[in-house]
Amino acid sequence: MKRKSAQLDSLSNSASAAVVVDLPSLSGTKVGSNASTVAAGGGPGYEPLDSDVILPSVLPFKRSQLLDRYPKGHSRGRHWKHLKQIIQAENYQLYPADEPTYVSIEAPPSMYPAKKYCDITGFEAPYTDPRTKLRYANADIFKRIRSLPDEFIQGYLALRNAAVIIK
Amino acid sequence: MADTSIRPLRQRDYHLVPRRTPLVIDNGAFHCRIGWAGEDSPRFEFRNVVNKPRHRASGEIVSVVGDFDPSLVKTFDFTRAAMRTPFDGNVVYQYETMESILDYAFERMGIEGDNKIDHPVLMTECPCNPVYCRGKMAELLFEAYDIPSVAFGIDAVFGYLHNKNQGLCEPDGVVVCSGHMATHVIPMVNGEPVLEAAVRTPIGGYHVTDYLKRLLSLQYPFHVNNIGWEKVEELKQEHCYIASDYHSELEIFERGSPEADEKTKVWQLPWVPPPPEKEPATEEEIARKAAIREKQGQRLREMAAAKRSTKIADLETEVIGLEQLLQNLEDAGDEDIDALLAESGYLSREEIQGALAKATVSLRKLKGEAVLPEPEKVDDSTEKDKYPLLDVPNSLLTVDQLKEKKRQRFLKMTSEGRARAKLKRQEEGLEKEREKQLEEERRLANPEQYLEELRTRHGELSARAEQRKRKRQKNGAIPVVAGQPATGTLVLGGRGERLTAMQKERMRLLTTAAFDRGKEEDTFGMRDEDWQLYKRMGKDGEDDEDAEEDDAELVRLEARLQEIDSTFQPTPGLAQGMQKTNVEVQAPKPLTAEDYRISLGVERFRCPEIVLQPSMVGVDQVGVGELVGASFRRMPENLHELVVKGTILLTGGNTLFSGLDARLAAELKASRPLDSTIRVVKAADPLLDAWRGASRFAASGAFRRFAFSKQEYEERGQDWLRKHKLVYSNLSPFS
Repeated sequence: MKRKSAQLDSLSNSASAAVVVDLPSLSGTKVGSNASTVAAGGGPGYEPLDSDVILPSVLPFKRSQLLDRYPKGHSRGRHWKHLKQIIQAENYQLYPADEPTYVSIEAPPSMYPAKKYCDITGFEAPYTDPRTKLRYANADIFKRIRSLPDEFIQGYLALRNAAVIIK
Repeated sequence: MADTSIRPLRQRDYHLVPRRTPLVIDNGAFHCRIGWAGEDSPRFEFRNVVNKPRHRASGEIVSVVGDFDPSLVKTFDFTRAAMRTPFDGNVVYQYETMESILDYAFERMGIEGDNKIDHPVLMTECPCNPVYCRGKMAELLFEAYDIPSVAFGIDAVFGYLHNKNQGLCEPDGVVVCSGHMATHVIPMVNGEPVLEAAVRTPIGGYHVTDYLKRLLSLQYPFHVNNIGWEKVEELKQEHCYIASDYHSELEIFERGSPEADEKTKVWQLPWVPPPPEKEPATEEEIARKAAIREKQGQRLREMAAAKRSTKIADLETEVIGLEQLLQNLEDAGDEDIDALLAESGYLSREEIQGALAKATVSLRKLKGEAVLPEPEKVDDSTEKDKYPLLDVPNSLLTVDQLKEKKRQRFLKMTSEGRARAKLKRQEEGLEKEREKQLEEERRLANPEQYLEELRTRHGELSARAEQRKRKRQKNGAIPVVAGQPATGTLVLGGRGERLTAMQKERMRLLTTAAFDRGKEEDTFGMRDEDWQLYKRMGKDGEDDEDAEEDDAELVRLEARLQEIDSTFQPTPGLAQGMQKTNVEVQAPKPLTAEDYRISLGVERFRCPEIVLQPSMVGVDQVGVGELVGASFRRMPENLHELVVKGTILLTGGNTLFSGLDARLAAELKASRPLDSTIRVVKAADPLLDAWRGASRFAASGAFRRFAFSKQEYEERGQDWLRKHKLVYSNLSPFS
């Protein structure tokens, strides 16, 4: 089997893999496995690294291999634009107004005032503690809030995105 | 259906797959599903993540695609690896990670090929995917795999089409698709999406799980390690539901009715009970143990007796020898004494006598006879004898004698001091005895009055103690609230308000002492009054000594009152400090299984509720209920009616919560005219319908019309790609 032989190669060469990496990568000729893709979810009978788990770094059906496209140690091409940057670069303002875009299908803010719930229990909360800014449902929970360490207060506030962020 | 918990096996039937059969990939933010066009189900699905653990043996970093598998921990070091997802929100942005995932997917599909995959690809994407992302994905597929052509479609629409074909919904309607990262509402007219009226809110299954995880971590800080993402996801899928009426559901729990207890689920964490208490030993056991102990004691006693008898014998011979020696000395003439002494090793007759006395004493002791008290003898000797040098003037003494004199003076002083202290103690004891007698006499003379006196005195003292306590608390001694350590910063304000006037004065003195130096010539310590400063500084806490005395008196009074007055109740908490020292520190309560229990009550419906009320997690966009209305409002006038009357289809993994359909119908009813009909339908299979719809589409002739090749893409460019849009509905149901 073609695949199996490739694996054997990869296993026997794993010791020299570090050397292979430093060589200029040649498309499709490299055998040493350095970024072998291993499939997850091995059943109880699986011995990892056995022939079915490790994939050769060279997949025969690929035109260019992952390692060649993203060589080790080269940071170029590894910086990915985040969604925000992608959207900014899209220049949606130049699009016709009636064309739906990623930004235009965003939901509008709610028309109704947000209901207030107790930060600890989730019950409806008529009160807000002026000191911690936590919402609470009754006096017992107020007592609990007052005895909470600051870390937890911030944790509860962060749940509804209201934590004080000190930069 | 593919089971995600087991690693999919490599498909073995690739040679049976016809040439150029399209590959269908439902590339969701949570799961990726892949299979062949025209088939009923995807071949397998896996979590759309890549892990990069280190191989323990070789140190290589490898990529593991799919769910985290605990069995791999043996071989790989996951400690520094974080799960990587190619998604930011619901949009693919990391194409290197995406490539690893596709590598894995294609390899598992058993695809063989010579530097190319000769199958067109139909891949799903989010509605209105940015062109940059669509282009990047197309480039990835063309350049890495050299696929002949590709087309992109919207997962929610494919899901709707599939359910339409199943007869669950009409060509006109609305699809509500709640996925891992976002929820979309897309109106459908005649089987086509109206993207102009589509809306998206950034709440999905991920956010529900995350909310639940963070809530539980805050509520059970001791079990944070057990609250992993995977476990919480499992809990969510098993126990969370959407309340039909959120507020009445909350009230059930707020009242604490039995119904709430029924609805509360408990997750028992692994817990090992402490070893059971040892049963009290039986009498036989006790007797057996006692016998063993007795036996051992007997042996020890025998050994000690043997030792003693040998010692007695030794001492007796010594005494006899010494007596003999003394006798010999008596008998011998002056000239023989020296020889005899030299022979015996003693220097003088006195020394021999001393040794003899010592030996006799220890012999007596050993034999258990009464020993004459030694110190008496010492007392007998006059001071003159003991301290002969003290009266001799210094001028007559040698250096050594001077030293000796010093030593003697010291010894004399200490022994005198000891005697004085002893006398004083005796006197105090007598005084106390006398007082006690006096009190007893008073009590006997007039018991009522005596009791009254005691009570008033007790009242006074306890009032004073109470006052002191209050003062201390007000001044900032931190009260301990119900076992929870209250942090100073929380309970109290700044430093200033925690200090009493006395303490403030002390602080002032300390600071002036620290910073006053160096101004002019330092004359501190020249006058004796200067040193008073330290006295004032040192006194921290004003009347602590007083307090201690009072407390002692209070305890004494309470004891006395308890003794003579059966009705007396000691005030709890008073003189607490005194009692605390006597009571042993209570051992911490042993942890029970209950301490290792995580209960899900309100959380069961509180967490999924964020889909309907995103404001609960600080997102100000509308929830699903309003989302449908918002979508309707965006519809063109002429199509509005069609959609409003149509079915509302729920699809996507995040719509699996029970009760969501009923709740959504109720919410919509509230916002629509009275007699309007609202049909909310759950998708046949919210997870796989999108793939199935896509599979059907890819098998139809329409796919070939819309799929584009690398050459076409390069010729037409990004602007054209922006307008790439499938026409979904002109597939005949029997293609």
